[in-house]
Amino acid sequence: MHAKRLALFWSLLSILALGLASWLVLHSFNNLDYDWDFAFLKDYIWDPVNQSPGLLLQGLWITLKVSFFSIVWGTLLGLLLGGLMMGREPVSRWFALIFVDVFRNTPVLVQLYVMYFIVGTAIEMTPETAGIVTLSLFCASYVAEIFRGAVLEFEKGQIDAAKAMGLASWQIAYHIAAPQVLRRMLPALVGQFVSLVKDSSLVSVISVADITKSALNIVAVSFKSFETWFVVAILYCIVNTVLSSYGRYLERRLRVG
Amino acid sequence: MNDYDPNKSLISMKAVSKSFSNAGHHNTVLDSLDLEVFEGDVLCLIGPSGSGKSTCLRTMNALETIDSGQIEVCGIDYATSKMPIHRIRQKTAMVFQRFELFPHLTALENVAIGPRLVAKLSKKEAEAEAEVLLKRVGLESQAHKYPSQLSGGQQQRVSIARALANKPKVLLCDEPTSALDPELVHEVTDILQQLAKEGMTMVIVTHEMRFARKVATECIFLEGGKIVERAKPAAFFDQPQHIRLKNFLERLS
Repeated sequence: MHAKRLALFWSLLSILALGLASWLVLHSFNNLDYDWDFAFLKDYIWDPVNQSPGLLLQGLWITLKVSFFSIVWGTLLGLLLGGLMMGREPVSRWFALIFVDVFRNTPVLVQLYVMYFIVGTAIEMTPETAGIVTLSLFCASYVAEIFRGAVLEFEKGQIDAAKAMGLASWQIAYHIAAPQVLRRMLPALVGQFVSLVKDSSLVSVISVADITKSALNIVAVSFKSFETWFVVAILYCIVNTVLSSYGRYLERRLRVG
Repeated sequence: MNDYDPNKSLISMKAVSKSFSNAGHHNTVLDSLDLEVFEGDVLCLIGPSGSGKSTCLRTMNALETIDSGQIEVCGIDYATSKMPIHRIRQKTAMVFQRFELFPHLTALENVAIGPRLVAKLSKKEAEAEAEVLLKRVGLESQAHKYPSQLSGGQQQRVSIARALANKPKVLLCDEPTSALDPELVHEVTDILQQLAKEGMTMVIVTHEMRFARKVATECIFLEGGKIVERAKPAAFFDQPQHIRLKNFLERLS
């Protein structure tokens, strides 16, 4: 059988669907009786009075900080949890399984409330610390599953080969398993990190001054919610595009075989 | 390399037993097996599938645990020695049915990783040694390719080079040609025969009877986890004593 050419019909259908969607968006904006004014946001990006970064940039910095620490701690903890889940010791294995289930299956919002208002009151945590701790635990539960998946996919034969060679366990883990497991985890891991940066917007509910909190404040003063949220969305988009581009670059560089 | 001592025992298995319990079903894989491998021996383990020959081989480098009995490699007992298992394993090397090369490393790096991590050579020294070994298996031109870019026969030759890189006392081969296309089998058997000629001590699990006849100093027929017959290749193939071996050989021809 010869390769069949794709019928023109499918391209026409795609164009039609795309046209319909574009029309809907344009129509909605046309019908909106609203005076667009992005100019006022300038002062929130750079504060002309104090000659310092404005509310939005300050918030962006906090968002970056919270996301960064949550990703780092979450990844380390996630690898540990994933390891425990695959371990032979039953108490720690069950603990890890339950931990992962609880943090994956409950809303981050509730986790944040519990961490800040209940745990945070008992041991005095700042909102920022409570936010980072919660997001780290949340991120860890996903990383644990990603790690476990990548390890289970790993062929046992290679481990046998490495053992037969006389390598010690840590050498097998570091030189043979880690490079391959890491490479396999990367796409899912980057997806999780991108999603975490967006989820970090939830820390605004425990009054961490992140970019979402800044936006809420700006809207409260200016009543210009459309413009504010659009700009905030663009800022999140820039951060995540940088993150995922770096992930794709790593993926290419760590190509297996 | 021919100045070996045929009285020096390299591997000694005494009354080794192993069984699997699977859903209440008891399955004896090794049944009080005694086997000794002396320097310069090339032993071919032959037998029907499920006879325990691969398991027997894999207990020699402790890839399989045993239920009872005793296994010594160069006089060191896995169970009682204070030496860590991975250090004992360094006295042997293994070639696998499915090659098991490390896919994230080039052919050269696959061969060099043993000397680097076990003998602690520098990267440069290890790769120089690896190049010599790749040349020996005729693959010096493929040194910088990844395993996925090599044919099955080439991959198995790399894996033989990798096994030799740690200068093992005994080379264990677990069906080294079973995963190869028929026309590629000789690439691997030629090299193993060459190694045998050079005096390498080997234990080979194989289904290639012509190869076994040519390479072996002795052939061993295993069934039900026991050694049924052990003889020089000529006697083993031409005058089999035991009825089970006779039947087995007849079914092959």
